[in-house]
Amino acid sequence: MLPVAVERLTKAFGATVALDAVTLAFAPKSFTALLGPSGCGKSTLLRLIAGLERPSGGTIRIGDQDVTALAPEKRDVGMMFQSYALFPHMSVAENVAFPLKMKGEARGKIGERVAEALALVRLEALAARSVRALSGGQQQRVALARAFVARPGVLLLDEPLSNLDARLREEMQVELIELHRTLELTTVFVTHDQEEALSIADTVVLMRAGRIEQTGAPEAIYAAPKTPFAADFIGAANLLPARVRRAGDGFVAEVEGAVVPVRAPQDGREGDYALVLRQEDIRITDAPPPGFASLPATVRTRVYLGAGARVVVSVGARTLTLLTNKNASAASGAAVHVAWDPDDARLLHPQQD
Amino acid sequence: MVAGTPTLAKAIAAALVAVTIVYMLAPLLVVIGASFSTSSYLVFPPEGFSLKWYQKVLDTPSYLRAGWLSLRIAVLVTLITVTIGTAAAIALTRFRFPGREPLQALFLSPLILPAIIFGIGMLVLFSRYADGPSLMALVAGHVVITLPYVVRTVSAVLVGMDKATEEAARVMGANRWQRYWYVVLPQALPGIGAGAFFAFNISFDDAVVAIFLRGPDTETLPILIYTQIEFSSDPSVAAVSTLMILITVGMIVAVERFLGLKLLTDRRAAGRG
Repeated sequence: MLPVAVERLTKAFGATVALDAVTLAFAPKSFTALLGPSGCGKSTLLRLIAGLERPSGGTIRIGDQDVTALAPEKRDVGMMFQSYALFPHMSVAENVAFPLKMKGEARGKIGERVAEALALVRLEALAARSVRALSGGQQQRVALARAFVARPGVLLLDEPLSNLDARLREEMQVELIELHRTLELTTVFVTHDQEEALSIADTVVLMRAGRIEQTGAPEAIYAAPKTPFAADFIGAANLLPARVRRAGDGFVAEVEGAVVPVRAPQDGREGDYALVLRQEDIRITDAPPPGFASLPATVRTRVYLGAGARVVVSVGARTLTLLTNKNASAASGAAVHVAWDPDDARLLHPQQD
Repeated sequence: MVAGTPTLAKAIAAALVAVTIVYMLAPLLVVIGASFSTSSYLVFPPEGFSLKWYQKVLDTPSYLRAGWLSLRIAVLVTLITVTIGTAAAIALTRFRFPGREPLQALFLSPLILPAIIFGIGMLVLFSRYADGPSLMALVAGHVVITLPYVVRTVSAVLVGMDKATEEAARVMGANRWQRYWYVVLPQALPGIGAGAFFAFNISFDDAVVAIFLRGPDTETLPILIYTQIEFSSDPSVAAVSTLMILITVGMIVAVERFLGLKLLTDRRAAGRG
């Protein structure tokens, strides 16, 4: 449960900069998600902390030790690999015992710790089994137990749930949260799945092209994305180009040829913005409530979700995706209005890709 | 192919399989059969049944000496080749260094070049710089011709291995030697086993290199059999050959038991893929 801090950490592979002067601190006992699309540098950051890559610049500290030049085998780190990297020639118990054996722990103590770790991932009954005879979900648990059994100062998880099917993944999300609560290890995990990041972590670090886009608690980052990229990646939000200008004592925006009311932009300036609308904040209606913004739209597709439906509509040349409750009727091709409360819409400065 | 293979095609395939089996097994059957014959010359089909040629083999010191020599050479060759070959395979698959590709080609060249070249070379080399043919000269010659098999079988397994297992071991505190000992070598074991099997058998029945390095003290079993057949046609030669077949079959059974037979037939482990 050590703090981890990286400062101006840079990693270049040839001419490609995978990580670009990233500065970041992980509090002791925190549970941080490194989130971003593939190639954003999240896995590189994880591997740099583990020592499996040599940084091109910057420093890494674990606890109060500068480990930048330290070999991985000398760092106080536990890591779970995306492929699990289990030793195929060893049993479940031998796999989990490995880090303790390398530390030179006494045989009796190793047995105790292995049993305890296997109990935590509910695999006691399979201790003697060969790892090759296990299901994917069981292998995942062995990999997890092996990563935390030595109680490392920092626990690194590389896409820990990506190889599981949807149901198992949801179960394991809950178990990871509970495990973290029990072990209180400083944990960093890499994921490309925003839902997973939001539901498990207490801090989300959103990355893009080797840099940090936004850092914050899941609720904060979801409620207040600072950039169109963050809004899109975290909330799968709709982005509409909007030209904002003053009108009376308020502001209005031109969106797809229509004029809708908007709240004042943060810096109070007129100009081109991205109007960010989350899927759940848009509704289909014939009579928009007073004060709401509304645009004419055409229903393109409706995807039934059980609890509700995801509806894709065309607004001018743009496409909006919105979530409705199950009763909302929206036949394909129907001409409707989409409406939202201007308080739920955000104006962000457009971003270059 | 859903409708099934035509009957004619099936018949042709069956006939080809049958011919192949007969073609491959017939020489073995002739040798084994002849060894039990009562007649005092090599004949097939055997006349009568007797074990006297086996008795003669066991009573002939030159056979016993040659057999013991071949066995010692094969065991030594296997140990040396497996050690060097495994180390070479690790270097060739794990490290990038200048000259890696030529070195790889060099290690595999005995597979392509005729063994006779190595025989001649060895003879000249050992006559010039040592006291001519010796047990160590034979061992050295056999190490050269068996090395590519071990390098190939071990490399194939190492290439197919999940590299993350080494990284995982590293993060868990294993130093370089511990990683080789606990993670790499155990996973390479099927390849090492297959390589050892090839090395033993190639050394045990090599006649090409051995004929050049033949001396009064270095007459191996295959060479003795060859000379015997040249100068006398007594079925004890067939009995010795049958014993050699028995040893090989015994080894296949052992490998099957302890490592799994697929090791020898698996394209990947056999390194011929």
